[in-house]
Amino acid sequence: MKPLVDIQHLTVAYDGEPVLQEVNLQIADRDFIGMIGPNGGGKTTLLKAILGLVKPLAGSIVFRDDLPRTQRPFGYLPQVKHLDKKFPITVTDVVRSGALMCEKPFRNKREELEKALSLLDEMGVADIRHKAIGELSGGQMQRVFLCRALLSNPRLLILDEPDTFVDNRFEGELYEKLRQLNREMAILLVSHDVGTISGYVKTIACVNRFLHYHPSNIITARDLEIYNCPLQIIFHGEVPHTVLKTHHHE
Amino acid sequence: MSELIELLGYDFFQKALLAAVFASISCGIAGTYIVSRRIVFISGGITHSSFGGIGLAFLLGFNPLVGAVLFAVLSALGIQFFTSQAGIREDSSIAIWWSLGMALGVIFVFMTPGYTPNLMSYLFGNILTVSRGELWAMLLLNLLLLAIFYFFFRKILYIAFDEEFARAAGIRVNFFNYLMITLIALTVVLNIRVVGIILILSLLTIPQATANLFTRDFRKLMLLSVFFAFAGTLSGLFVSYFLNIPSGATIIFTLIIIFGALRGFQFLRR
Repeated sequence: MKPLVDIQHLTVAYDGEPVLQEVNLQIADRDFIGMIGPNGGGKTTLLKAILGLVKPLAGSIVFRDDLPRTQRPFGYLPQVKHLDKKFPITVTDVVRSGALMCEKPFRNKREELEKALSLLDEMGVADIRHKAIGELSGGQMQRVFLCRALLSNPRLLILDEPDTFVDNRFEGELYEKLRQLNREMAILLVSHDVGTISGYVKTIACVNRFLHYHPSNIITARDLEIYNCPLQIIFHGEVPHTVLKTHHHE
Repeated sequence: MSELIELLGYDFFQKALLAAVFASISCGIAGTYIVSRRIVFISGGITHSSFGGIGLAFLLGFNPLVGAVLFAVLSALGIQFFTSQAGIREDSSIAIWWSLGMALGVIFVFMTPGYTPNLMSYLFGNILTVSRGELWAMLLLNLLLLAIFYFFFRKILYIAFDEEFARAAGIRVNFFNYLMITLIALTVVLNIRVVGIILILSLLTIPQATANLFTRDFRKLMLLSVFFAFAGTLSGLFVSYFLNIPSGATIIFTLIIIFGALRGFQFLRR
């Protein structure tokens, strides 16, 4: 079976400055790829290229023949920090906006609304459906945006740092949820927390202008060093954990 | 009371009332979009640049509103183009169009021979002198706005909230942005006669601020904004008539008093 998304020799530049160079990545059904790398290393840019939001300078992104031509039937959870939290929109409306990504539109508004409500219920946030987006906590907001991404029953779920602004308990729930969802869809997950995600993802892509693909969820300090990924890790058994550098107090 | 009934019988006052209704609907709807998207400053630029068109119309002797529409739409598209395609910072491109229109207006008015008696009513508005033709134009604008918001409401809302998501979903975001900015330009210009170029921003923002005290749902915000815009315009109209003071400025005043009173009331109740 051909991959869902086939990225070949992708180069993306902003103002002549290459952000991604010669990137190759194949995303197949049921893949669960964790994408890590330093800030400004091009993780979000790669997601945007896949979503058609930035034009590549060179290379190609090919979608499998059975995907619709006109749009990309993906679920997308952007970095919430870029959204206007004071925008007058309710939780239900946010989730229903996910219908824009539908491959097959809902039969009617009622069906769409029911799906939206059942997703909110599944995430345990049905009670906040009438609230405005600005009234939510970080964890609630991420759940709502995950519902939006899932409304279209996507074949590929793209998540850009869904673990920011959330507490540890929700982080665990989120990854467990993603593991379940992975039975039905491919997942591409950007995170700054290699330690936590490595327990859930199947493979790891390290993006720092170039992309290095690790066909397993084990990543070693040596790997990171070779690929110039400036993340520090320590090991507890097989699962690496990130640690912060020593803080120097003035 | 008899004075009031008599007043309602006058042709000019009936027209003023209709103008208040039409202005409230168009400004309530367009203003909610403007405030939600945080493009109040863009709207300010569009408004002020329309003065260039009014000046040109004075000079060449055609209907000032036609000139204003021309300049407003041109500057609206210009700002949008400068920002999204030409890579000029948004606030700078707004300032360029804003001042260009005002400057041209001043030059054109200066070049116009003789006295330009209506100039003040374009700058500060006079709801009591709105003509039949202008009312028809306002009605058409209202119908257009209502139709577009009825048919494309969800797209408009989703693009406004998260443009990138809409773009990823294959929505023609640029088309809708140009459409909306054009509608804003038309709304601004056709309501200039009510409160004037200098003051029109108030009708697009203060009712929304008042409505925002009660709801954060885009649909309800639109409805409530129309309501508060109407309450402010209507009461301003009456106050200005009975106190014999300029209507445009009075309407702004009543809009702000309504906002202030409700905000104060809300504050005290907490």
